Amino acid sequence: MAETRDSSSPEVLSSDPPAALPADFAALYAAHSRPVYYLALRLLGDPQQAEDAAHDVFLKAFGKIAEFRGDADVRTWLYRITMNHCSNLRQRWSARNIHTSPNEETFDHLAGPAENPLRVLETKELGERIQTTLEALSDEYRLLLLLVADEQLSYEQIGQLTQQSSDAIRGKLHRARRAFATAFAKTA
Amino acid sequence: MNSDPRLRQEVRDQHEEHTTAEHQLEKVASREFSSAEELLRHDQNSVTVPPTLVERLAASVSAQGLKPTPWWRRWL
Repeated sequence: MAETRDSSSPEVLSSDPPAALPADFAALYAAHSRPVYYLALRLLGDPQQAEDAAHDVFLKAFGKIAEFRGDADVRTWLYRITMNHCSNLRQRWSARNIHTSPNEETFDHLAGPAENPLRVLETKELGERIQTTLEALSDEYRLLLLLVADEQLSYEQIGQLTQQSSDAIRGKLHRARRAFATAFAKTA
Repeated sequence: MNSDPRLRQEVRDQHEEHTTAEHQLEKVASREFSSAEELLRHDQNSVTVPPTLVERLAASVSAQGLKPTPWWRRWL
């Protein structure tokens, strides 16, 4: 990812606006449904749960669509709803099941692999490998990488979403990338 | 063994076409990503939003009788 992030570029529609929805909302859905669904998918790790979450996020957004009008941070706003919704769901799940969260320092101290661990064969298992990798990371690193992967978000916007400075994000990003590469190599 | 030179050439051509196609497939199938974000972006682009999502959303909007807040309500 380039260090200079251009968040002013025009939004690319994920798909054609669906005719089943009111026009304004259909445009919003078309522009943001894929990133919202993807964020939910990788935070929750389950396609059906992700669909339910994306449904709830857009339903909530629909009632407040006027707040989006002319607002440059629509994506940020939708991501915030998605993050909160998924976080609540995960908390409910963890209350019923025991999950161990890996410590990122475990990855920090591992030696880097000799070959690029991100050289992959594009198979249908790639999504499963990515999910396994993300779940091996700490919540913070997982979310940080997912947000930084969205080129429409600036570091400032990511900082607003994660309540930290842009400099802090840049600092953690290096460690998050390394942790991801190490964990991804283990899924091969 | 077939001794017809034209037929042998045809078989050779078919074999070369097949080999080239396999090679291209390998080139497409194997890809190297420079960062986790690049891999995640690729992953996102390969994910399909379930078509049922928009159907469910339209049904929920309709069932709840939700209407978007008028833009002018922001100023009141």
